[in-house]
Amino acid sequence: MLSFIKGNISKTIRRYFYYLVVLNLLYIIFLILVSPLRYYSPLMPYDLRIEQSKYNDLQIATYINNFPERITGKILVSRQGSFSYYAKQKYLSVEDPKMIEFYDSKTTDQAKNILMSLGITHFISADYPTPPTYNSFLPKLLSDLNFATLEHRVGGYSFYSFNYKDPDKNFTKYRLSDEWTISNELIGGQSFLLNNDSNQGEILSYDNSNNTKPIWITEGVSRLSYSYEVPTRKKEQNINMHSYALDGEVIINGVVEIYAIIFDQNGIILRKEDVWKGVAKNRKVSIGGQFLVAPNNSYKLAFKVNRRSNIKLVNLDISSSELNKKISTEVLTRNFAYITEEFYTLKGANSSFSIMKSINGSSYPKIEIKNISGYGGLVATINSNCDNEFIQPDYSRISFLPKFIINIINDAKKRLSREYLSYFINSSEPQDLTLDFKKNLKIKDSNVCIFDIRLHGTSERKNSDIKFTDILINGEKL
Amino acid sequence: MSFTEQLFDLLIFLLTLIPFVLIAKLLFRISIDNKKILELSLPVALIMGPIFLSILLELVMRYFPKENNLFYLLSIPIIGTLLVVFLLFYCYKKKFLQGWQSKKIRSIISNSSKKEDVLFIMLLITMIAVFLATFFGILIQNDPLEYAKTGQTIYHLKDLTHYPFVDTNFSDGYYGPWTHGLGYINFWVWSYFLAEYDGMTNSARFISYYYLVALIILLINISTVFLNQRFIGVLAAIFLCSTPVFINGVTGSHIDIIRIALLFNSLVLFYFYLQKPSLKLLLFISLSVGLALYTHSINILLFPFIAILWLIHERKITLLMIKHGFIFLFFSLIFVMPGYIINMKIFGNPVADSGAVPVWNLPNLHYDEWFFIRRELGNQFDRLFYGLLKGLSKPDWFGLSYYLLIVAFYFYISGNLKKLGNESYLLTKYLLKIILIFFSFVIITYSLGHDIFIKNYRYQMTLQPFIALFSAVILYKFIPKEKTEC
Repeated sequence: MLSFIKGNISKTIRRYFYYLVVLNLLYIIFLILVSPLRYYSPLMPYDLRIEQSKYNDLQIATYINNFPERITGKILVSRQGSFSYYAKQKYLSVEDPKMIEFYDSKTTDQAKNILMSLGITHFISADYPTPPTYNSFLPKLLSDLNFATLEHRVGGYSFYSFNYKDPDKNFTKYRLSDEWTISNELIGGQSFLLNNDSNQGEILSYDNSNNTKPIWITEGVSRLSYSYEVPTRKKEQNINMHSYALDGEVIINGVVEIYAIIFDQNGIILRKEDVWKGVAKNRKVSIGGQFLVAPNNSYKLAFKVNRRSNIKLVNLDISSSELNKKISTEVLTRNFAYITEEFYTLKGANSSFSIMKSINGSSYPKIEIKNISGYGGLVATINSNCDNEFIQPDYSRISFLPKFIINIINDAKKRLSREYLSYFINSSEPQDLTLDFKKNLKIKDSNVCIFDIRLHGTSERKNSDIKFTDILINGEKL
Repeated sequence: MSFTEQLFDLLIFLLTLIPFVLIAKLLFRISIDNKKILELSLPVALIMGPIFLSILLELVMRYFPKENNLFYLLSIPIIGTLLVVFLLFYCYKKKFLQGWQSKKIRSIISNSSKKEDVLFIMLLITMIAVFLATFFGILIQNDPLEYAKTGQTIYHLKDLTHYPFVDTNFSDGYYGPWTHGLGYINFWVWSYFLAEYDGMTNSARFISYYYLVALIILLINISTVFLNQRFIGVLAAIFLCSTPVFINGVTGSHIDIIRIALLFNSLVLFYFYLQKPSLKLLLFISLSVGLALYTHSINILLFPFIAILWLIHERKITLLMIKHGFIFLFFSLIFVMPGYIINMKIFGNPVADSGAVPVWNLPNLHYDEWFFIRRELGNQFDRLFYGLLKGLSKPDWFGLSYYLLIVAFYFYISGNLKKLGNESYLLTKYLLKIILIFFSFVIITYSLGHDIFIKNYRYQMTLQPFIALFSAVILYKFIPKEKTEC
């Protein structure tokens, strides 16, 4: 054996084998250490790491934990693991046998009644397709603007609330565009008009079964949120969002996803919303889901037809209503954080203030803390719902680079833009502190962004505290 | 929770495991006569010991439910320590402790080349990196979160009457319909008891890492004692650590590492039984198999594995085999029988997979399609390529392990097996048999149209330590070394 390998050749094989093993290990070490760093800063304390985590399911659990008073009943959850462990609300899994009655229901009214009798007031979808969201009455209920309201969305995790009272919203119906473009990527790349070779009865169909890559089918015309309105054109400016609901049926073979791509006035893509996902084997399934569009913004619908999948859209209705929800300033306290008339006080580890404020401006707000005194660590973080905007910065100068390198640069840029400021307060004399968030993201002046500013006390000592008299955001008192 | 608190919690957690590791070590001493096999006592005890804690915690909670925390906190270590004292006394009386000293630890550096040292240091760096990734990570994967939540629920209830949690009225809304014993879950319960803090306790997060270390010590000990070459174990450990899906399981605190370690442990011990059958060793193996079953239902595979290996080895059915077979079955099922009876009542089956969730069986929800298409088993090509051959088609999951296996297999069938030496030859033959038996299960079920073995990548992960050791032995022996020409 191996008698042909002699002298130098044997040495060469040995050397290459050795290099291969070393390289393999280096790759693994890189993978182990680098991959978690994409999602959180490792040096944060454990609890804060969970709160600040970039995992979508954790973010939605943290969001819900911040508003416990808003949730009266149970939340129907698609992904039980992370929700049950990290959120502190009552819940019911979509796989719980109690739900069988719901899946067996014959009408939407019956389905609603069963949900009501189970005490379910909210629903969270998962960022992957789950059978109840396309095979039961759930999509029908989610597409009913009078019954379901989209409260918050992080990636594919959509948080809906249910309203069992009488309908109170007026909604308008829209028609679908009849021009669609098809492309290998959602944005960029070569796009061309879809040859409409579908039958008369079908709105759109595409066979991607021989392809090994997903295909994006996007509505041809980007439209302003009011442009397709049937009765009248509403042109008045307001900051109320419009919520849009999709209701329809589609025959799919494989995996198909629907996104709403949101554009600003200048036609720049702001974000894409994960509306619906379905998996089936040559079968008709129901579409249902909502997305929010700010005034002056516009949207396109996009179908992502995964590899070896095909789609035949049977019908799709879009309806919209104005969302009467304005977010004013809110200050939430956690653990040993108190607000009195004189002072804001943070006592012990993990106590925090969370300030939610909508701000209309071109950059991140300037935050000042007045008359701060006491002893202990103070950590400040800032996040906004506009953080995910500008997902496609201008890379024309480096567009010759492969896509994955651009993605790495993009990721690194996003990572660096997250900021986490920490201070150590050790003074009995009151001083002023300016939080210097040097975020490199600029926000377009047309946008109203909701900011979540958090101040955490990190002192391990229970009896030490930090006090301050005021928080000023852009010079404005809270 | 600060880093110091986390480290302190972890230290306390590990300290409480010590009596149980000692119990396993002493039981091993009592069961084994062969001095060479006794060299494996440390890793074997590290792998089996902690499960005794789970069993004891289950017993205490079943017989004394709803006591206060202090009761459980004190009773577990006290009973554990008493058992150690009793076993020590027994061993002392029977003179088992005499002459039980480990061989001098051979220096790795003295008889290894520079390159081998570099690889050993890299293995250490990898282990440190994996520890840091676990330490600085958070619990995020779905299955560990569900087990952790189950642990949290049991900690709150302090009662096992309603486990498995199929009726959410008794589990605070949590739905966890699986048929596994409490082997892994009780680590979580125990870590909650130790921390007395129902928030984000995390000492049980490290249990998978602990099992990785134990598995690596076992691999290195096997190669040192039986192949007289410590470096083969290091190489096998490196192959194991360079399987992304395996390390991902470790940093994510998955149950799989624990079940795989117990399965590997049982089959390694069975190898020694086949070499020289002894009833005492068989009883110890049935204990190991029992613990494996108690941790994860899929370890029921050990029965067909052991039966086939036994038949292939003996080539006939003897009276001794039948007698030993019955004893083996009886003692290995003793721990899991109560759990299996409960499962029969709840699920109608002692071990259930998808049948355990009634919602999955509703025809209008089409969960069957969902499983096939989502797991890339939608058509025949995908079933073959991503199902059966996923070890080769998914290097981002299985790394180079299956390619290495193919190279090693080529060397094995085309090479001069005398070159291996007797011990290596027997061991690699045994490992190859296990790998082939597993794949024959896979291929038979696949060609009958079932997807049970190919639908979940974690089932295929079961083979990883066997593949790592097999490839390491063969490649080490056949890749020519410096100053030696073949």
